[in-house]
Amino acid sequence: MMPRSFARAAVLPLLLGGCAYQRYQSDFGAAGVEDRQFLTLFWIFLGVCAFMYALVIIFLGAGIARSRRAAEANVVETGRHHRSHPLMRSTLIGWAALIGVGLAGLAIASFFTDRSMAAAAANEKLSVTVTGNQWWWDIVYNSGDASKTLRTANELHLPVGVPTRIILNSADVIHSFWVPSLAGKQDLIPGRENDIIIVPKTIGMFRGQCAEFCGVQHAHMSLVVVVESYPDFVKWWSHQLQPAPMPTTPLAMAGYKYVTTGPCSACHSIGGTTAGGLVAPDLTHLASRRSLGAGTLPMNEGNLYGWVEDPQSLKPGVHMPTIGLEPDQLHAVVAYLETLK
Amino acid sequence: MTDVRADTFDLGRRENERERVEAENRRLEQERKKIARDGPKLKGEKLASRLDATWGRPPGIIGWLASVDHKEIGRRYMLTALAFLVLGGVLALAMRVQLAQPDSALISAERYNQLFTMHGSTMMFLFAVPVMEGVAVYIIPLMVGTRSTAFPRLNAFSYFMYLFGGLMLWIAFALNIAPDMGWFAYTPLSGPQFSPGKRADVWAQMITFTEVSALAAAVVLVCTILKARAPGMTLSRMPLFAWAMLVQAVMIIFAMPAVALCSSMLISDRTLGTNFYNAAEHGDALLWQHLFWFFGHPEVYIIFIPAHGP
Repeated sequence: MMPRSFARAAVLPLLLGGCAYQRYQSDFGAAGVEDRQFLTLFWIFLGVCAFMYALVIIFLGAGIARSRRAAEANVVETGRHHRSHPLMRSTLIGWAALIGVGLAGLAIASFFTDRSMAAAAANEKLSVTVTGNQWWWDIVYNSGDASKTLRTANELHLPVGVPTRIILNSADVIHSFWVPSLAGKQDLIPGRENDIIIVPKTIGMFRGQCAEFCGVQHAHMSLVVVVESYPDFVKWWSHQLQPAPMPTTPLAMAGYKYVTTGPCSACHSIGGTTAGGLVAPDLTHLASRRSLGAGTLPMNEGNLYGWVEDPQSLKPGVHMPTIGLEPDQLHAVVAYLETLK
Repeated sequence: MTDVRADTFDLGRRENERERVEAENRRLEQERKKIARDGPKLKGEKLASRLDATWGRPPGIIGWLASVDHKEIGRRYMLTALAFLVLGGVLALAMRVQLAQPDSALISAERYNQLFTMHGSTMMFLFAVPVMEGVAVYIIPLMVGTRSTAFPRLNAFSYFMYLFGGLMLWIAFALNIAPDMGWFAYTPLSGPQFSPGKRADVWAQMITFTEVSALAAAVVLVCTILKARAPGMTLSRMPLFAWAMLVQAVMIIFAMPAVALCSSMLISDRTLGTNFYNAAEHGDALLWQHLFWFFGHPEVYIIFIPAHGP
C-alpha cells in the first residue's frame, strides 16, 4: 500500500507540470531571492576553495616528484631548510597570506550576502503563519481583519516578487520548513517562533519537504508552493476566502450531512458549515488543492475514495483514523468533498 | 697542628657515619627480603611467582571474566566494536536495499525508522568511539612502557559497561522495542508525549551505559599517559599516538557528561514526569539540542583525532 503511494508521490510533480522539473525541489532552483544569493555565495566559496585545493594538490605533486636525495640533503642534514632556502621561506609566507586573504574574502562575501538578504526582506508585504503538525502543514494568511484571515493546508500560494514573512511554529514536535528552490531551511520548534522571508522571483510550482525527522510519516510531509502573478494570487486568495458552497445533488447533500455532523467535523473545519475542528487540515477548498495527505497522493477522485476509506493503509500512522464507512456513506462523502473546489 | 687534630676528629666522625649508614642499609635489606618487593633485588622463581600472583589471572571462566589484563581488555574492546560495525553495516545494507527501488515493500516505515536509529547509534556509540579506545587500551601501556593501564579494574569495568549497553540495544532490537526516533533523539519527538512505550527509554539507557564506559576508559587513558610513563619519557618524547589519545580522552571527559546529562534529563522527563524539554510547562525543546551537540561536535574529533595519531 505504502509503496504504491510512494510511486504516486513520485509521479506527482510530473502530473502537476507547469514548471521545469529540475527546479521543482533543488538548491539550484534559483527561484527566490534568498536562494539566488545563496547560490552566488556558493559559487564564490566553490571557486576559492577549488583554487586552494588545486594549489595544495600541485604542492603535493611537486613534493612527491622531488627526488628523495634532494629532500634528504636539504631537510634531514641541515634541519634548517626554510632558512637555507629563501624560496621556501617566501613561499610559506605567501601561502599563509593567501589563506588569510581567502578566508577574509569569504567572510566579506558572507557578510554582504547576509546584508543584502536582510535588505530584500526589509519591506515585507504579506505575512503567513505556517504551523508544523505530524505530518502536515497548517497555513494561515494573516490579516488584521478576521474575515480576511485565510486558513488552508499543505499548499502555499505566494505572489511573485512580494516579500513574504513566513512565521513558523509547531503544534507538536520539531519540523523544518525547507523549500530549497526558494530559500534555506528554518526549523519549526514548539514553544518558539521562527520566521523566514521569501521573495519569490520565478512563477512556477516548487516542492517543500519537512527537513527534520518528525516521526513515522516524516517522508510524507511535503508542501506544494505555488508562485503566481499578483492578479492570479489575489484571485486565488479571494476564492479561498469564500465559504464552502452548499451541495446541489442529493448524494453530495448526504455527504455534507455526514461530514458536518459525523466524526469528520471533530477534527476538520469547513468554512460556512458547522464543521469546526482545528486539529486537522482545513477542508473548505480541499478539491482545489493539488495533493492529498501533505503530498502523499495527487488529488483525484480515486485517491479521495482511497484516502477517506482507509487513510491508515495509504499513510500508516497518520492521525486520521480509518473509520470504516459503509459504501453508500463513502460515495456520499467523496461526492461532497469533490464539491469543495 | 690544629689542622691535623681537626682532620683526625673529622675522620672519626665519618667512620661513625659510614657504620650507621651500613647498619641502616643492612636493616633495610632485611626489610626488603621480608616484603620482597618488585624490583632489581627480586629475581628468578620468586619474581615469576610474584608477577604471576599480581598480573596473572585465575583459571576458568571466572578468571576469564575477571581478567584485568589491558591487552585482553583491549582485544575484547576491538572485537566487540568490530562486531557492532558489522551489525551496523548490515543495517545500512538493508536500508540501501530498501531505497534501491521506489516503492520497495521490503521494510515498513516503522522498521525503517528503527533501522536508521539503530545504525546511527551503533556506529557512533558502539563502534567509532570504543574501537579506538580499545586500540589505545591495548597499545598505550606498551608505548609508554608500563605493565598495564592505570586503574586496571576500572578498565575492565568500562569494557563491561560498553558491552552491556550495546547488548541491551541489540536485544531490544530483536524484541522489537528498538528506538525509532533517530540517533540524535530530538525532544519532544523522543519525549513521553510523542514516543510512548519503551523505545526511547532503551536508547537513553544505552547512552548512559556507553557514556559511563567511555568516561571510565578516558580516565584510565589520561592517567596512564600522564602518570605511568617510563622514566625519561617526557611528554615531548611521547609517541604521537599517545598524544592523540590524550587529546581524545580529555575531549571525552569534557564532552560526554553533556550527553549523559541530557539523556538523564530525558529519562527523568519520561519516567518521573519532569518537564525539562516540555515547552508547554516552561521547559525548552531546544535545550536538548544545545546539550546534545555540546557532545556531538567534539564527537567528530573524538572519532577523528586518534586515527590521525599514528
